[in-house]
Amino acid sequence: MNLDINTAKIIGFLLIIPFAVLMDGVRRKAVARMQNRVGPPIWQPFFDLIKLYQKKSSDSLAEKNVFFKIIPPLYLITTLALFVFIPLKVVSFKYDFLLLVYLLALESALFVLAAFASNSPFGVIASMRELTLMVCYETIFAIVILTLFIFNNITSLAGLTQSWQLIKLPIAAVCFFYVMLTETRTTPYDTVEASPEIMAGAESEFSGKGLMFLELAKMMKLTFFAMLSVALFFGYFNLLAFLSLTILIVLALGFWHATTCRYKVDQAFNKLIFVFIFALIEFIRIRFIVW
Amino acid sequence: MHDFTIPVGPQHSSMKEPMCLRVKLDGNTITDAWMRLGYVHRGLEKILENKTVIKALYIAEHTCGICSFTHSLCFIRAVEGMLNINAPKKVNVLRVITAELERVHSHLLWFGFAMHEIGFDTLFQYAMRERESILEVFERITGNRVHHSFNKIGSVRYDLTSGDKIFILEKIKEVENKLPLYFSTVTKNKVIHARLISVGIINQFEAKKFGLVGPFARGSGVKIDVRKDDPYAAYKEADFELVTEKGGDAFARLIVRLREIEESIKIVKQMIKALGDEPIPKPLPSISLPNAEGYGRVEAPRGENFHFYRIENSLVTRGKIKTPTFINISVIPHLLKGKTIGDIPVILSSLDPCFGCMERIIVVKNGKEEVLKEDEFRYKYC
Repeated sequence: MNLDINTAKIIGFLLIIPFAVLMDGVRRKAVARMQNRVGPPIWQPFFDLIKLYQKKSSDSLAEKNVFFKIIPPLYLITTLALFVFIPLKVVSFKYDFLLLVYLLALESALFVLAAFASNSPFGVIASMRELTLMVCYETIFAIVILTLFIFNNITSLAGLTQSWQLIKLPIAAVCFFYVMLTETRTTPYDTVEASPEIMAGAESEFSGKGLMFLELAKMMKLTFFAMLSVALFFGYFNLLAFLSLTILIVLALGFWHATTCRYKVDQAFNKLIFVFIFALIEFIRIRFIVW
Repeated sequence: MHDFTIPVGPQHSSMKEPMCLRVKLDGNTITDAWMRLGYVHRGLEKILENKTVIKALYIAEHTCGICSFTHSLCFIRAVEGMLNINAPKKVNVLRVITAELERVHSHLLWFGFAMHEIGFDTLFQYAMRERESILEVFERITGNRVHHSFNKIGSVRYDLTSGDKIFILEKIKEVENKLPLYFSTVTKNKVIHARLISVGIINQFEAKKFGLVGPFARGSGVKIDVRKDDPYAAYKEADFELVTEKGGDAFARLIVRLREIEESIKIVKQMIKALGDEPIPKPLPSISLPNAEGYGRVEAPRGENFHFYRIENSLVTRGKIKTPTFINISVIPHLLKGKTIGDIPVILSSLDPCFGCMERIIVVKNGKEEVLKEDEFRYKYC
């Protein structure tokens, strides 16, 4: 195992949280401009989080459930742990991508558990939806990562130094984009928290600090996936290019959010199965046809 | 997932007004649905009683916040019928202009909310922008944006100036220019098709059986429209198409409403051309009416509005208001059965419900009249 900690990385790790919050602000502002609104200022998410932190938790019956209390911080910690691999590369070891895939699956599992613990029928439906879609998108994610690793003949995330994989593995990139849409709860795959249908699923039961942790984790996840897609398919040239591309991906997600509507869970599942087949085709292709 | 029942309302993000819908689920599929209403009952018919006709006009107008003008028009139609007043042509033309502009604003509002229900917030914002143009017109020609208080018995409150005419034409041109964008988005977007087509299907036979009205019935191919069947005001002179679609699903209703916006704009243009230069008559200062009964019906944006009034010694002693939602709402449990949770907001919004207007209460028990105080009533039936 290779542990690489220095001051720059610690500062980077601390700066990632405000950066992620700012990215959410950028996305909100961009979506607002696309929707013919003025929109909130880009630092609005900071105020939102501070307000939520100061709020008292509501007296819900679910408060008695220990899972309901401990899952939001755990969810946030799991999301923060993702940044250790990409882009900071603090830890690297052989086959560390398995841990990355596992952490993402754990995050989804924690969400499912939180939804079950929320003592709300809408939460239960949300967790069922998440479980149904998880089967697809986690598998697609694992296949895409495996494709990249086998194509580049590397064994660790630290070995990801190739650039412009987007051109070499276009189908994998598209499949990854679908995973990104589902994970970041962007339309048309935001069926897990469809507010007109199931009242935003589990989140409607959380309040105060718990909700703040969940919101922050969501913002972090958005930035993580933007950074991961840049690292996997564009490459790391320098910090400025990396951050600019991250912002571009976040804006692309905002554009997707503004220009599509939501699939139902069965429709989303059927579409993701197609994506899964394409991911498999790409996985098989790289063994025979390489350009 | 085991069987369970979920409450959709009274407070639910898919409804803008309170209504309790209980849905029994088997997995993701709805096996049964039933409703409970009465959360926004205001006792409007009771308030109308013992009011003079002039006062009752404004109360009748407050039945609905979206189609307020059609309610006042319905009242006027009933009372003018009783008084044998024939309003001059110009007044009728002005009434048609306001009623049609109201249809445009109501359909745009509905279109926005329907798109919001399926997660297309951009179209929602755009529809609100176009609706704002119409509200500006209302503000200019009637003085109010929502409750216009424009109708008077035998007349209307204000005449249009030449500046107003240009203003209306400019604003409806703005809406007209944006409509092709909505049509192309709605007809080309695959996700909208996936959400709306074959959802909440009701065929022509069933639509007639349930007695549906308005765009809801016209989406199933039923040719029903008071403007054509029983023309009032200046609709006889208007040349417009009775829009119907054959699909009978949520998508057909969406197309019907969007096409109706086009037709309404066409009518407004014709009516502005037909406006004469003569002054409008002064409204009647007071009305003396011995015992009389009368009714009026008009085509509101959601369907047929029906008002019945009994007047004794110039006072309204009984008012009966039947709004389109009151008729259409009964079909909801029938439409929901066999559908999934994701279809609930689509089906509900395709109906365009307005609960505040439709809440009427009749308590019949063993054939005897039951009189309850407000608290007792809430305890027992709400």
